[in-house]
Amino acid sequence: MLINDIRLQFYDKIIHKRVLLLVSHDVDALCACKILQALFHCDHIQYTIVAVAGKQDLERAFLEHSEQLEFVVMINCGGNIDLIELLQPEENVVFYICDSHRPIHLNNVFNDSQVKMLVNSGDEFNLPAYEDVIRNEESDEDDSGNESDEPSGKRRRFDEATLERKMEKRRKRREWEQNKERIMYDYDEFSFYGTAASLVMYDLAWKLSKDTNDLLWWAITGLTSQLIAKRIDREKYVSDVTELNRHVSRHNHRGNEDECPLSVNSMKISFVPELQLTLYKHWSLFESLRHSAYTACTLKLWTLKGQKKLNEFLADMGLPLAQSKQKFSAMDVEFKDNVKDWLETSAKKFGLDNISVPSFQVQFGFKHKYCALDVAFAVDALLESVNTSKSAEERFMEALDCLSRTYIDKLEDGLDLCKQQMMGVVNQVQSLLDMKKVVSAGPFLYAFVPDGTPGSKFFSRPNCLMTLGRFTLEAYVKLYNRRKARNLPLVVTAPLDFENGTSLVVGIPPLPELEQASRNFFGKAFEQAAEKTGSRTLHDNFEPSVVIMRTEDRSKFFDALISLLQ
Amino acid sequence: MMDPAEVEFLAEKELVTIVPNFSHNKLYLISGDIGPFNPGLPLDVPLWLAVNLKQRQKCRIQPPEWMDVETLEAKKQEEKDSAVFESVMNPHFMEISKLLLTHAADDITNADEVHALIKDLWDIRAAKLRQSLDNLSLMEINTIRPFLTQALDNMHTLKMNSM
Repeated sequence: MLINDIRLQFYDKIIHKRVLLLVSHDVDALCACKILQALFHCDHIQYTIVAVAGKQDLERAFLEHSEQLEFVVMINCGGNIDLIELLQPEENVVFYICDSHRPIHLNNVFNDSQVKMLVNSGDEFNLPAYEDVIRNEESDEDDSGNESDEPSGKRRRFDEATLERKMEKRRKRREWEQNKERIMYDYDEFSFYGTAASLVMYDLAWKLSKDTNDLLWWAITGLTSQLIAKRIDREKYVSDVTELNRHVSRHNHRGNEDECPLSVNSMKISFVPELQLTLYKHWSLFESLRHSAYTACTLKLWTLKGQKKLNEFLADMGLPLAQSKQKFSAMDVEFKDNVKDWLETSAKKFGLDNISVPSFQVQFGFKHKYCALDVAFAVDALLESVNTSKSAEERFMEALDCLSRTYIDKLEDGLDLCKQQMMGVVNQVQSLLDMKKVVSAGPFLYAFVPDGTPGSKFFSRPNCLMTLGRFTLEAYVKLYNRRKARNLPLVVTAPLDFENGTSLVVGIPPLPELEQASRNFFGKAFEQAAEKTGSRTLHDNFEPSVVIMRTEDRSKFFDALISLLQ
Repeated sequence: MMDPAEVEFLAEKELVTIVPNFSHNKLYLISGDIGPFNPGLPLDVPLWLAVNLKQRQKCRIQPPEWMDVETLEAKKQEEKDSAVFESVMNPHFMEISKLLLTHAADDITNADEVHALIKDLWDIRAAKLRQSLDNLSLMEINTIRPFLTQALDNMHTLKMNSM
């Protein structure tokens, strides 16, 4: 069941109860979880947080905790799978799901008692009509009852009318089934993302009038993470940012600023257009330009010509090379203050029209000033850290911690990790392109990350592999500029666990779709290809276009994928 | 010897004024009755409750009257000019301001200046305390020595017993 009044139908129901919080491994989920935690603290609601990385984790966590609890809240997980089927819960258990994965599984939508979906009232779902996809049990029974009546019907001689009625019924049923199949296919074909979970949770906090700048900042971080993972298109992002900006101005402009200035230690959020350059405020401008997908691909930095173009670009800005290679924070003040304007002007000449996006920055204390893009990158890097000494739960907790102001040092670690990750990605893209490892299979492009390369360990994490995939696809298309390639999707595989012989497969939709709605058809395609060939795959991730596969099954899986997509 | 946390605990009994944003009946506590709470109507509650409610976004705290820049500046000047300890606004001024500045900085006007002034006042008084031990003659030291040594002895026995 879809719930619109989250306060009445969700929060007031769980207040004074104990709640199980299942949170998936992504930045948006973490931010939503933080907001919900703050609300729970305010109202003294007891809760248990369990991080779940995939469907198996979800099952395990539910089994472990289900005995004591009636209320389960799921953040960014569970919406696109049939929960009742998977978990087989007792009848008194109620699931509240706040999931940005779309499409929502229809059994979740039409279950009125146990599954409640928390959604933003502004979202559109294009849900099929109830009677089109779910047939009434009664009419089924009626049907089968008729069939068992058949012998007795035979006894009567003049039952042509009954027979005709039956035929009519069967025909109708067949029609209905065909219709249902078509509708389901349309509904399920693409996976995509809706409004960020953190925004839905912030909305709840606002309605409870418990929203503060801290909560607002988490909502902003969650939204920004959706943008950098290209889960939503720019249009949706901008409209959500406008919405959030209203809250930002409500919280941050009270009275005359000069008369009663706020304490330095309190949090201040401001709306600023921000450059889409990875971590440039914490890196050097030169490195940042090289490691950002947008600039690197547009300037074609993979070639000598591209390298020259980058220098030209810096010269056009009037920024000395030495300064651009300097740490940004150590750059001359004159350059530091103006660099944003200069960069924007020069960017237009080099075809980088969309270099800036509307965003927010936060400041507290004298030292801490971050922009939302950087924070989202850093949290993601902590979450996907490849440090083998840390378990998935530890990584999750660390990423959760670094969002709060008291553990701000952890965020700095995240920034460093993110730099390493981006360097790994860029090196890998460079080597894939240099070795001509991006190959066209006809209906799609594919690339394998070979085992044992220095950066390959980064790509055992799904988000990082997806970043690599998007980066590679954009670089490939812009570099070769073939019209045919422009509309091709990309499949990337990377070794996951060498000893067990498994690899990770992700599908990246073609560039035009990536830029618009980020709709991904690989979820269904992977499922069907695996089914056809009997490949040993594991569709564990909540994102359907991420699959774990036995490495030796790769070739037959790809063959099936080719014939499927042709 | 009391550690700062214990002193702070005592200070938390001081009353401060809050403006709640919820309604609740009277609370009957051992230390006295509090409330009733009505949205928008200011009332006096102990500091510990005020901080707790503030953390849960359930009230706004009205800072004590002395916690504004002018009063504090005057107080600071007075303390500076005088050779002895002046009376302070509140015996627990340091603890109260510390708690309010960390948890309710957004309710205090000019929180940063207030913070600096409180710290100044504290420093002046601490300097006086230290200074008063300098320039003591031998006789003077001797008059307080028995008291000090005996006190230290007693403290030592107490510590040994507690271990």
